[in-house]
Amino acid sequence: MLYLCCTLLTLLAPCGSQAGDPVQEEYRVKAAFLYNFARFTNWPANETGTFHLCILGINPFDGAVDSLRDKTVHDQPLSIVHITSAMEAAQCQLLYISPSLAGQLNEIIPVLGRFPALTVSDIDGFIGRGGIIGFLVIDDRIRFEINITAASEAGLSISSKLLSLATTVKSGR
Amino acid sequence: MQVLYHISIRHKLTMIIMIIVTISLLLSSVAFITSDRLYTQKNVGDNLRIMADMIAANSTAAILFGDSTAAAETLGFLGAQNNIESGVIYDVDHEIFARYSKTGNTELLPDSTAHDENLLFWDDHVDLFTNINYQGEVIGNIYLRSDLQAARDRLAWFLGIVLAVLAGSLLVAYKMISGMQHIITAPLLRLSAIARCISTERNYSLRVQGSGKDELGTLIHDFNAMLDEIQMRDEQLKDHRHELEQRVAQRTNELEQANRQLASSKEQAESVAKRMEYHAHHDALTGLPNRVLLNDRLHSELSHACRDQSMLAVLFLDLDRFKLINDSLGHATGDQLLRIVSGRLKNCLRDGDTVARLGGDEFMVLLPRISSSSDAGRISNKIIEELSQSCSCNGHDLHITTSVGISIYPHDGTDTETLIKHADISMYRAKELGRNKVAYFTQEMNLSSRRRLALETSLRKALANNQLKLFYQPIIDLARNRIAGVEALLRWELPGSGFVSPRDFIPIAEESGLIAPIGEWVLRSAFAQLHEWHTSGFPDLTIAVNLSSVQLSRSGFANILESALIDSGITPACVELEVTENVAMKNIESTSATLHKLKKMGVTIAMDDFGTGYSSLSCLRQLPIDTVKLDKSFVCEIPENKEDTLIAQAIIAMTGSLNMSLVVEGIENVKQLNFFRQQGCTLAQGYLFSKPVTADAMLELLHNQTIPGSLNLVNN
Repeated sequence: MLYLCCTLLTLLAPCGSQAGDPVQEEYRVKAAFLYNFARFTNWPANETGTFHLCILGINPFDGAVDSLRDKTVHDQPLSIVHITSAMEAAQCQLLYISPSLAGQLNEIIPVLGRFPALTVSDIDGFIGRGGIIGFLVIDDRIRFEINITAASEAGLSISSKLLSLATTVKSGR
Repeated sequence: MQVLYHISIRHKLTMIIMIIVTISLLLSSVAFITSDRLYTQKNVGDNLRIMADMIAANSTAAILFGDSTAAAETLGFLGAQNNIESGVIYDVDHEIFARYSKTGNTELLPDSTAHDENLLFWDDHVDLFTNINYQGEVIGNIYLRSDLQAARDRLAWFLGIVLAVLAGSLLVAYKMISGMQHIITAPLLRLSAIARCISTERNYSLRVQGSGKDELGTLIHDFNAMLDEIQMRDEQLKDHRHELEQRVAQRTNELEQANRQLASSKEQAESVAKRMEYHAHHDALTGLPNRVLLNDRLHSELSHACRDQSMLAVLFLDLDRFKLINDSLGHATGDQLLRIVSGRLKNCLRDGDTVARLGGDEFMVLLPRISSSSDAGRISNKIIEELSQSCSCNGHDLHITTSVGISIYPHDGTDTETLIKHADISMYRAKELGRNKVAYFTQEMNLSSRRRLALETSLRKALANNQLKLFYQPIIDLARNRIAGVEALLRWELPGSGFVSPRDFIPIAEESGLIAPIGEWVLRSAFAQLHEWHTSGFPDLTIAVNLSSVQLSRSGFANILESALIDSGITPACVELEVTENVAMKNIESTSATLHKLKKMGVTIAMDDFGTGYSSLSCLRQLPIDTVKLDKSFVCEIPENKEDTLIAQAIIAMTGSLNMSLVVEGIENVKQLNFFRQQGCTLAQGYLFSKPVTADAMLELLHNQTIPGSLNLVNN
């Protein structure tokens, strides 16, 4: 687990002094996952020219996402946007929903409606409740599951390569 | 390579073709296999790349999400490929991310850690490194290793095919060559068989069958043409041989005949050789040993004498007055006389003595082993006695005498030359003693002989140094009491010793040959002097010059005279040449011819010392004599001696009737002058008038004409 963590972190940021705190480690990996999810997903045409990575709710990454700031996704500079309301998600291409909003998820999902945003969250049963990708931790390893129907409803297409890595690929409501 | 010379052309051809077939098949096989190998390699490489690309494409997500299980699953797809031995996926840090191995052997890792993109071929496997890219970013590497078993199997298969094709081709080629090579070898074998047949049977009419325009056809044609030629030559040769045999038989026959002739001629040749040897050593006339044989014998007897310390004598003989007999009675008589003398000489000698004829009337006797010199004298006296007996030759009763000179070994000489020379010298002494004498050699003789030699040497010098002089004695015209001419007389003045008599030096000059230059000098000097006098007012003066017998007998004398006359510028008529009677008679025919020749040049001829010799009147008639000079020996006792007076009168009468002029020599007194004047003589010379004087004195005489005798005469 540690070496995988380190491998992934090298992709994103120097594997540094922060290593040691398991929670921080976990979110560093998850931040890398977020970036890779974006790379294996295709969006409808984006008029803004900027890839918006939006974080809704309390930011659990604690700076781990900051290392993504100078990356590009599909040739668009990545911009990290903190939003407080689901209504603000219209401009977001990737929307991370903080576990802090687990209780309000049922209200948030409908708001998101048909925004072309790839929704990702740590919240348990996220894809069952209308999210697209949900993080899991299995045997100390971070895995993910995908709701392909939600993705297509949002107008997104996810690479089969990504799908092949998912522990579960759900289709239908 | 040597082996190649011993195998037949058939096998050589087969071998060459087989080698060519093998080489071409091998070359094409190598080319084929090489190209196939290259193709296979490319194939293997391409396959590997395709596989690597597939794996890369399918493992990007796994790598990015760190899912090595998923990556290993992707690699597991390689299990379907038989040739892939192993595969490894490295992450971006070159750490092994996932791996696959066909045999489960995890040690099969690349030898190098160079993770650049490349394809490496090894002996038994191929390595491929390639990057895994995702969206322009290198996210890891792939290593694939493929074995070459398939390629090797393929190669083995191909080799098998190549060998099979090679073997098959060789077999087919061999069969075809065996079938076809007779096209070339059959004519050759035919040719060879015929050639062998010809060489064993010598039947040149055989010919090789076969035609064709190729090289073999040409060869057969040329061979047949050569056989034609040989056959022709063979027939010619047979003809020639036949002819040759006939000729040999003929020649053999001739040779046998020639051999028979040779055998007989050989005997002849031997007898000729014997005769020739005899002639080489013997005198033809008398049969006595000649000088050669004498020299041999003397030589060998000298060595005997030297060894035995005995004495030996050499006698030198000369018949007195033999020349006279020869000239007056003819050669036949002379020859007969010589034969008689030879016989008598032999009778006088002991066994072992040798008598030889040296030529002319000269004989030499060799007396070996004498006990004393008186033995030689005894034998010499015996010889003289024997020879002095009269003998009858050709109807003439002849009395001959001989002079003998003796030299004795070892007293008078120890070698042949000296002994002969000394015998010769003593013989001359014997003659001087008055003929019919014997003279032993003495050292004084040698001295006198040396004196002669010294005289000859000084004579040579005298000629060169102008010591010879001409004196002139006037010849008086008694009628006109004037000097009519002069006689030139040669004088030799030796510095310090006075004058040498011409009687002494003329014989020496004659013997040594000096007479020729001296004679010429005399002619030229006398002529030059006469010319001088002619121009000095005495144009009618004549000159008389004495000739020696040797001078006269030389062939070029007429030319010398002519040249001297022309050079001096005087007219030949002024010149009178004087020849003594003895000289003229010596060889009457040749002398006569020479004198006629001289006379034709315009000179007159005088016979000097007339009356001292033995000339017959008939001989005198043959010679072109203009003048006779009466010898002073007849004059000196006139008129007291009646006999001389009669002789002088007879000679005067004779010259008158023969229309010759006469000069009286040696007039010393008035009585003589008167006598000859009464006899009608017109020319005279002598001391009464003048002794011989120098040219200057002569000129004075000419000017004064003061001649004592003549003046007296005139006065009386």
